[in-house]
Amino acid sequence: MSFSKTIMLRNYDGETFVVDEVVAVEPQTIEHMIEDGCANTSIPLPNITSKILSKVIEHCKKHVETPNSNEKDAKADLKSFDFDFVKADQGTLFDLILAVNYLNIKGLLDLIYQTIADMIKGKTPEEEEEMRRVNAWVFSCFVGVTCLYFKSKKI
Amino acid sequence: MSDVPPDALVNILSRLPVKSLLRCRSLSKTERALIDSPHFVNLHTKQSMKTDKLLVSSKRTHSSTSFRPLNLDSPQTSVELETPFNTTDFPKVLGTCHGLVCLSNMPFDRFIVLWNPATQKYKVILTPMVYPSSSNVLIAFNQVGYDHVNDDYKVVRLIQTGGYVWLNSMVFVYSLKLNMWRSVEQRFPYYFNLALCQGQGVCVNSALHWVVSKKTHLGNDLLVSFDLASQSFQLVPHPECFNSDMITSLGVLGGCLCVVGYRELRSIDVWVMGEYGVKESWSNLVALTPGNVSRCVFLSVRPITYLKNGKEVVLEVNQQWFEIYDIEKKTSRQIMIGDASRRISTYVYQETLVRL
Repeated sequence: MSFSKTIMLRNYDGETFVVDEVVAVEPQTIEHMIEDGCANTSIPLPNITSKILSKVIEHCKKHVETPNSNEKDAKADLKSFDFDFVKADQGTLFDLILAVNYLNIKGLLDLIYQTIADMIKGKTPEEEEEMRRVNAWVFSCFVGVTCLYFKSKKI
Repeated sequence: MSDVPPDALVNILSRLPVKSLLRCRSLSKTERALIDSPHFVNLHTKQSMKTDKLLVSSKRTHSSTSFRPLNLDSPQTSVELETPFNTTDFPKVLGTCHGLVCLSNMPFDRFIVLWNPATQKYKVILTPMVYPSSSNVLIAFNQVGYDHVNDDYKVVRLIQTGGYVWLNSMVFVYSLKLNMWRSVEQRFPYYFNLALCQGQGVCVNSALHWVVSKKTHLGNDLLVSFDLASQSFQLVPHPECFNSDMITSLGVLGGCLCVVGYRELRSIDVWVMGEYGVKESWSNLVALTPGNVSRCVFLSVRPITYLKNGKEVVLEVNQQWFEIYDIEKKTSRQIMIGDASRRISTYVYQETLVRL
């Protein structure tokens, strides 16, 4: 029985999460930090709350622990985990976007983006309008920043 | 709200269907600018290409063509697409490219239509024409393709005039971006075997491909490609076995060029070129023998798309039914789509925002 290496993640709320290295390197940002030798004490993640960080770790853990086989059961199990994972309120989903984008976990980011796209897809124009109104400030921030982004890229 | 990733909204929007985006587009100036931007249209097209959709055109003799999207799980349940133009004016379907459907009128494809069924916009294009003297024969081939170097949709028009012994070929290219035709000075000393295939080209790797012969109208043994960016012809190597056997049609599967041919007149093979331009990368994907296919040997087979993550191949046969071929088990099952009075033609397409 060998001991697996653990990594400490220290977040915005000052809480420290101890995570197996193999799980901690799922986020590319953390993988790079470890490679660059910044992981001697604990890795600081000052912009992520405990609630969000624990959700992210839960997701990384599940995906690392599930064998990467084409076996039907394993795939179905993972799919149902992902399905439940994104059943969060919109606020949580948007917070997750910020965290996962910073941490650079491509698979999880794709899952969240697809979830939001599916949420928009399934709505009638009235429901869409309602959703936009409620999230108007988020959308306006997004749109504003996106337009600045395009302007800077001269597209 | 600091550090909002600008990619987030763009990524989410690129996953939405065209219908939703056209609605989003009308809500504000900024969103219209975003959705109309060539960068976004490109991104959305790439996202759409991750899932192939099937479009089936069906035509009864002496009546108009109808188009419907096809869901192979429930083939009978699909609603006919409205066309913003009269399909009797343009009865020939030339092909599809990224959500654009290309149709033409007869004879000689004098008028070509580019139609985007998702946005319901279309564009009629008049093609350049050369009228030979009465003793000469004239054939015209047209096909639409995407030039990824210039981010442009192009239509290539090949006009051949002449008798049996000599050929005069002319090549013209239409650019959607520039909305104009240009004549291309390129030699094209090949014959099309019109008895065997209709001369329909396919677009792979930003180039259009046709099956031709150097020797006569009866052969069918060379693959020629026309690169849409450099606008030049090149020969593409085909599988060794087709030095003596005939290639009957071309297709695209999973972004790779494939050929269909009769192997010693006892089986119908589909070969796929795994790596573009590499002769050794040709592999035999499908072999249909009269035992598998309970009808006669001389069938027109068109490869359409993969199913089940590449485990099955959809083949359109005789413009009437599909053979779904299991690559590993080497067996196939059939789905009837058309019938004797109604011919069908299947195309892979996506819903895109491409502007016309």
